Amino acid sequence: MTLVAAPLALAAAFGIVTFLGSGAATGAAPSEPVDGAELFATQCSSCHGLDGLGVEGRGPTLEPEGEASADFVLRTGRMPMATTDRQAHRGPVRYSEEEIVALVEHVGMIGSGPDTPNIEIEGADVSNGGELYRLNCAACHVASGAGAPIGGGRQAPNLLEATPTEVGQAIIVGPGSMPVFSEFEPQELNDIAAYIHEALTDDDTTSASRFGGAGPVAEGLAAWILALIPLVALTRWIGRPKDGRDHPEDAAGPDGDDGEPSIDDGTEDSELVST
Amino acid sequence: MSVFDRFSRGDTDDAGEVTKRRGLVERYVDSVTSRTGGGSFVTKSLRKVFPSHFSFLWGELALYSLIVLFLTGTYLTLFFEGSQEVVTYTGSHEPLQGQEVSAAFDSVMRISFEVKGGLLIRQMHHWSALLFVGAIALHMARVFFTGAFRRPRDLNWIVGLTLLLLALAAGFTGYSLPDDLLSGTGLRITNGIILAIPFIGERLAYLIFGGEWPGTDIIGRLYPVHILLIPAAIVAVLSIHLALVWRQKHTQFRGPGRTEQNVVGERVWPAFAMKSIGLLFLTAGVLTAMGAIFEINPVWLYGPYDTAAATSFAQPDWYIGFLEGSVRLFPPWEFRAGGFVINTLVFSGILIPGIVFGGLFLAPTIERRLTGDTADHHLLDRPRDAPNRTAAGAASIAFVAVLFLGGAQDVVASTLDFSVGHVTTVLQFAMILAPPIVFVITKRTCVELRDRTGPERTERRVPVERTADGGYHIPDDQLEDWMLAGGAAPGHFDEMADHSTVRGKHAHRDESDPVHADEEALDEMRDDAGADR
Repeated sequence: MTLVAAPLALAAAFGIVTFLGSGAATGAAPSEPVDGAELFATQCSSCHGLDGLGVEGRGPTLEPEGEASADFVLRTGRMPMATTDRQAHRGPVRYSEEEIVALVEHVGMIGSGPDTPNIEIEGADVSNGGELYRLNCAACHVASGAGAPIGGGRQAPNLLEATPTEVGQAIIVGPGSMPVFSEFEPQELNDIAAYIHEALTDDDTTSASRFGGAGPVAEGLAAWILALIPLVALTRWIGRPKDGRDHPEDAAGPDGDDGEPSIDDGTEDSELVST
Repeated sequence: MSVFDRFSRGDTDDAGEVTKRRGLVERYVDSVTSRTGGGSFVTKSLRKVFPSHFSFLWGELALYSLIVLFLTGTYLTLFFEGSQEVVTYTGSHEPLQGQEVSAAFDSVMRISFEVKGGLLIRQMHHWSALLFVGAIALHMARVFFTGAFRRPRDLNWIVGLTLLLLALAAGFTGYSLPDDLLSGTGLRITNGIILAIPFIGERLAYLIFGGEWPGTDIIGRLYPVHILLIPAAIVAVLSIHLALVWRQKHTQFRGPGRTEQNVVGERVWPAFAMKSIGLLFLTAGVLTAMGAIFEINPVWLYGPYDTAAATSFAQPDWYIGFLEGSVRLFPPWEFRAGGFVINTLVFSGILIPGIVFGGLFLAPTIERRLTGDTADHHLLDRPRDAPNRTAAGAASIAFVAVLFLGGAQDVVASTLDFSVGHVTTVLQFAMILAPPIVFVITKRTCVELRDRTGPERTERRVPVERTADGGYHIPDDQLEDWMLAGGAAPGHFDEMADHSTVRGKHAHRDESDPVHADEEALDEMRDDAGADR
């Protein structure tokens, strides 16, 4: 995925950044306090409306969203979107820390969604997180965390790039097509985030090379490309006929003792051959 | 009397006694056959001829993968536990600590992380399985596209296909044993396909799985099938396969000196045996390297099977991919017939693989019917020389390849950044359209290639003298030309009894003249020719 998607994402991001060019995003002086409402008006309102309740045909209302949601999309570079006809992808972050804090606070006032959970992976129960992950997450995000297409042209993103806090936010917010998982206890969020971080992202279980977590498909490809084709090349080397080494042998036919080797070496069956 | 007398290079004294000291292996073989008899059989076997073309080695590639499979598999059985009894995982892999897992999964984790060399052997075993079926597929392709499956080897074609089925069964049962999330998903699909069999499906599924899915028996039942029944069947059928090759001898490509009545190639002893043993070591080496360097089937990542859990990119090993694809691509048809539900799995899980394998089994019969050619064939066709067969084979491969891609349609979509739905639709059309298109293109290509005039070929004429006693003789100074013309060893001219000259085609050759580099062979020929006089 990354091979193909990365250049596309880069190109899209580049387009956005140049488009926004000299906007307020980069213009704000570091010492000045950032006005969230003003920033929202210049950066977000063209799609979400000045009041944050959405613009018909361009962007959804932020009423059900909240600080967790705003923080998630801004810190993963999903907002502002390159184009609205595709799912928002992770990309470069376009705002400074102060601007993000201000925007998140502003969106928090518009919407009624949850605040960012406090995710603490230190001391979490990784094993329990793994069980919850397999029951709730792996069906879309893959056991390896590699992410997979989920239909309708949408992707469950790769989780290996997500921070524990982003994982927690996504679980309670349900960005894009993802359902909201509101039934988890705070400790369970910590466990899941810890599992993703420790067992998948920082996986050093074996030192063997892996194939992007794509499972048997990648393994089958590897078997053909790395084992079968080299071995066929080796048979080409081994099986090269050497002129002068070839000997003929009488053909078989399953019908009798005609399988005598046929080099005429002066022994009794030379007569047999020449008759 | 030595088994190797007829391999002697003329190192005899005046009394005709062999003076050359024999090698270790030769002395050992002699010491056994002098006590047990059977020397003439051994001589005959060692003097058997194998064609030199490299495609004849692909079957051996499969054989040697199988040997690696047996060796690594034996090691794994020492530690694997074929049971679904629930245990608590307490091994060294932190992220699964305290999880309730089956004893089978627990033992695979132990093999991976606690048993010495366990992970290497396990990964080698899995890579070998992938290679085994891959080599079988290539071997089959060679046999099919060169027409080697025709009478009298149609019999062995069927034996070989049986081996393929056994290999698939071995692969599938082995894939299922670790009882991880992926293999459980595969077993669940299998369970569904068995349930879909009309009339007997439900009872059969109950019988095989010991009750409702998932039950607690299936791993324990697959285990003896995987390590005992299927390997025993493979050994038995493989023995028949090889015995038939031995009995019927190899086919060979057309070429100078090659006829329907002979086989031209290298003798088993010593040349071919050495090459073949070399290939065994190379195969084992590549597989060891694969097992050491590349991760395969990381069950700790998938976790134990749980009916409530699921993971994407849930694919079988590549050789079951066509079946997975059939299930994924087939439209969800379902209708009732006489109180029974015929659902989509009947078509995708039973009918399509039935057609694929039925076609393979019937290929020799179908070709015989269509061409009316019932003769025995020992010379191979170039693929282009049988355009219809080649096109039919290519079309079949195209069909299976589309199914194969369908089995990985989510990975394909993810890699190409397309929608899964679009990929599926495209593949559904391709399933129907690709075979005829490939057929037409392949046939056209074959005909073009066949009818194209080949490159200029030089001809050499070698005079062959007829001796007073009715034999034939090549003058010493013509031996080189005779060999360059691809001629048979001197003394073996019965096929050319009525020709005073032998016309050989001198096709492309390397810059360095191999004949000059091979004086020894030439000497041997001269000696043989001398013996003829």
